[in-house]
Order: sequence, then C-alpha cells, then structure tokens
Amino acid sequence: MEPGSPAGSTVRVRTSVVGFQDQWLSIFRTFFERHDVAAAIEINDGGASPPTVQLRLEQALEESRQ
Amino acid sequence: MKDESYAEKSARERAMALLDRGTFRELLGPFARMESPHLPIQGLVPQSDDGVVIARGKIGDKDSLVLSLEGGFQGGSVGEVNGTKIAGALEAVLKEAQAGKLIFPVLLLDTGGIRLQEANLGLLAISEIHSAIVALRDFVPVIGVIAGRVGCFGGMGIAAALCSFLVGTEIGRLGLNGPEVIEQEVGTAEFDSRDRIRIWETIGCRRRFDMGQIDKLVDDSVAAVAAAVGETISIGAVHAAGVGPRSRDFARQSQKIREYPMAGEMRSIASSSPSSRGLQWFSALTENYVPVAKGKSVLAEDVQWGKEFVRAISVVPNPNARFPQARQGQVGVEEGWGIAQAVWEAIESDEGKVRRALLAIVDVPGQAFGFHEEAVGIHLSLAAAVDAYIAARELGHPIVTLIVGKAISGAFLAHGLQGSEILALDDEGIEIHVMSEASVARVTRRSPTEVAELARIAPFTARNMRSFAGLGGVDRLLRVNNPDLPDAQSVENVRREILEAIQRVRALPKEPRMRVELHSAEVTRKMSRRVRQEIATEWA
Repeated sequence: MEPGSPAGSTVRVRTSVVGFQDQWLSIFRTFFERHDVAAAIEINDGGASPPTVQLRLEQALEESRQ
Repeated sequence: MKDESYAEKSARERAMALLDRGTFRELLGPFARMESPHLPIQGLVPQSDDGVVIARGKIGDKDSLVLSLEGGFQGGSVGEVNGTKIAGALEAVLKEAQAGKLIFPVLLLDTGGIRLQEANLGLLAISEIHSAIVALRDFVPVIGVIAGRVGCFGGMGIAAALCSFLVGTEIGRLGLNGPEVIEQEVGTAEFDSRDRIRIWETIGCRRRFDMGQIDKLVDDSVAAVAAAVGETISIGAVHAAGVGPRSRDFARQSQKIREYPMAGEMRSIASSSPSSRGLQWFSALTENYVPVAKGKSVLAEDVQWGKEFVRAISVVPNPNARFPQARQGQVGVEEGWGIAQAVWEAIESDEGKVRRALLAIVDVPGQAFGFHEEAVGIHLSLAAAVDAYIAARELGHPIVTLIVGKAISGAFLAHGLQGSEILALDDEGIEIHVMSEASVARVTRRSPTEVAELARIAPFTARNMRSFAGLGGVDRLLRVNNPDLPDAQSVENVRREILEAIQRVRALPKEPRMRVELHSAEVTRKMSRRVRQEIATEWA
C-alpha cells in the first residue's frame, strides 16, 4: 500500500484462484467507504482468502498512519 | 509469559528481532518490487521481495547484515531473484571486508532448497552463494540459523554446512534431501515422509547438534536465537571452538562415517557395473584404464600435458560401495569427502609451487538419496567437496569442469559447478537438472505432463545441455564423435580444449558469479544482473 494520486485510488490483485471477483469488489467497496483515503494498493494474495486480506488492509492503513 | 516463538515470525520480523532497535534498514525491500518474473508465466503469484529480506543494521553495536528467507513463500525456495539477493549481498560484504571494513553476515535459513519452478537458475545462484560464504569466512564468522519450520535442505543445506557458526532451534531440521523427495525417489521403505518422529530423530537439529554438525542448539524462542547470534558476533572469532571449518574437519567427520552402524538391512543391488561415461573419459584422458573392480568411487590421477600438471577427478559407479544408494555413480557421504581429499592433496603438495590444474570430469546422476545418507550428514559431505574446490580456486589452482554425462543437482554443486570454466560435450543425451521429473511433479503438485510441458515456456527448467548453456552455465560446447566411447581424435580435441581453458583461467581467474556476464546469459539472466546493480545502488 502506497499513497494514491489525486485522481483517486488504484487496486491491483494478483491471485491464482479464479471466481472470487465479487468478494474482492465488496472488500474494496467497504474499505474505501470506511476510509477516506487515496491509496495505490497492490495485493499478491499468496493463497490468503479475501477476508484475511481485508484484515491486512486495515493493519497496513493503521501502520501507515503511525 | 512463555517465550515468543522465533519460527512463528515472518522473515522480516526475524531480521528485526536480531538487530539493535532502530538500526534496521532494508535493501531491495518490497517497494523495490524485485519479483520473480518466472512465477507469473507459470500461473503462480509472485511476492514483492521474492521471499528474501536483506537488512543492514547493528547487532550489539557491530555492523551486521541479516539475510532472511521467508519459509512461507514457496517453501523458502531459492530462485534467480532471491538467490541473487543473497549472493549479491554477501559479495558486497566481502568487498567491504577486503577493503578492511568488517560487517557480520547472518543467514536466517528456512528453505527447501532450489525453487523447482526456476530450476537451473536457482542452481547457478546457489553455487554463487557457496562461493561467497567460503570467501567471506576468512574475514568474519558467517553465522547461519536454522530459523523456521521448513528447515534447511538442498543446496542451502550445503550452504548451512559451509557457515562458520551454525545455530539450530529444537524444531528445525537440516539435511540434503527432504523426506518427501527420498520417499519419491527410493520408496517408503527407505524413508516414510509421514513418520514425523523418525524424521526428527534423523535430521532434526538436536540430532545434528549431537553429531557435531551444529554449534549451538537453542529453544525456538526469539530471546534464545538473539542471544546465540549476539554472543557469536560479540566474540567475533572467525571459527567456532578454535578448530577450522567443519567442512574441512576430515578426521572427526570421516570417523563418524566409518563408525556409522549399518545393520544387515542394507539391500544389495545387483553388482553389475553400469556403463559410465565418467569412467570412460577419465580413463581416456589420463590414459589409465581403471577397472571398476578397484572398488573406488572417486578416481583421481595426475597427468602431465606439455607444461601443465593436471589432476583429473571423476566419480564413477562402485558396486562395492558401503552405502547402497551411492553405488551407481551418485555423490554420497563417502564420495563428497573423497572428492575433498583429492583436492586438498593437490592444494597441500603444491604449497609454494606452481599450482596444478584440477579437472572435474562430471557424470553424476545425482546425490545419493537415502535414509542413512541423511542420518550421517550428506549435506556436510557435499559441503566438504564444495569447500575444497573453492579453496583450491582461491589459492590459484585453475579448475576446469568437463561435463561428459549427467550433471544433476547437489552432485553437480559438489563436483563441477565451482569450476572457473565449464566445458560440456554437445550431446543431446546429457541431462542436467535439479530433480527428477517425478519428484518435481510431487513437490510442485503438478502432473508429470505439465512438468514436461513447462520446459517449453520456461527453458531454465529444461533438462538438456543446450538450455543450460543458454543460461551462461557453459563456456564451451565440444563436438565429439561418440560420447559413450571416446575415440582417439575426440580425446585429443577435448584435451586441447581443456588445456586452452586452463590457459585462459591462469591468465584471468574466474568465479561462478562471473557467468552472469557471459554473452549467453545476457538475456536469460537479466534479473541476476539487475539485482546486483540495485544492491550496489542501495548499499551505501
């Protein structure tokens, strides 16, 4: 996770598992609804499930604010 | 409160836990995005640091460099990018040491060995890591820690054995071939990969400590690992316990091999001697026709060609070898030390004289896969051979490798890959790879067909000599009439090629890392060059 551009946020997900598009989209919708940030996010899922990634996103944001 | 587990931490956290507070500085961190370009083309998700953390900082106020492998990413396996991160960082420490500045290198090992998806690229990177560790040991203690749950295997098991000081945790394991691979290659009767108790009794760090193959055994706790590493650095002695490196300790280690009890369970394999190109070419080049029945698996002979004295070394089938898994020409526990002995004899008798050339004739179908081999410590045996070749090269013995037959994995690391020049017969029949197709399929969870298909999109996983040469692995390919039964003219041509290679090496000594600069590696090992450049940029 890095700062985004004024134009908005970008998200790139690389995963070897197909068919979870809806879950990914809902995670990012929730994340950006909850936090008013512009971030460039890159995710290499390493086999982690979308809910785990959601948790990691919150942690990363927390850490970036410290 | 119970001690915090070291193994439960990520590679980055493990590095941070060792360094003095506030001194951690990561080089080529995740935001540098030095990823493996070879995984996505195989449908695998890469990681932004490729599973290795390079951290500079201080330990007990002394400049240190921590290299930490992430066991959670592809089993901590070593490919082109992360392997070069390790090799390149060690080379940078070596350069500083040669200029008089000491930085203490610490390797946090949690790895299954070569990354099978990157195969021969990983093999080449590991030969560079070996070379850097041995060169560094003359200046600073190179500290290894078996840090996680994966353990430490394959070429990195050899690297661990080369370390000056090795720490193991109670949950760690150390060896050459993991139980799964032995089971695949030889069968469940040899080693049952589900028998956890037997595995830890055989290759667990406690057992290694009892064998004198690890210097310090600690609990899996952050405090215990940090104390062991900190103490070693604060003492700062180049070697543990006043003796030389473990991989040169012939007296103690060969006694352990001799005393190793092998009950009547050793299955006897048919004593017919398989045809061996290693034997054919050794005999032809040295004009010394050795009968197989001589009962030796490592042949060494000195010849004089013009002004050059050359010691030819070859590993050949030996139906009478004590360890049955090493009877077909494999490099096993006795062969590793045998090669080392042949090399050290040359080093010692050339003291103060012109150093003779060493010719490694390579036809090795692999390292010996066996329970007894692991129990007695084959990783250390192979390290002894690796160490001897590197020592000889550094002292000025020109080393030329001639590949006439199979050149496989750990056996090739121990016998051939440390050569300054590598010559190979240009023959379709030569196989060069890091693991059999069946084992690759099992470990990477692919079908054997998929594994075979892969060679077309990822040539570094291919098993022929031309593909390996395309990675800068070979300096010259030699045409001969009949590789199985060399005729006089072919032998003469090959002999002339060897002599020319020796002359080139005498004029300009070469190390494995210089293969990256070969024209043939320009495109295929682009990342190896980029990673080294980035390390140089971020180093200061």
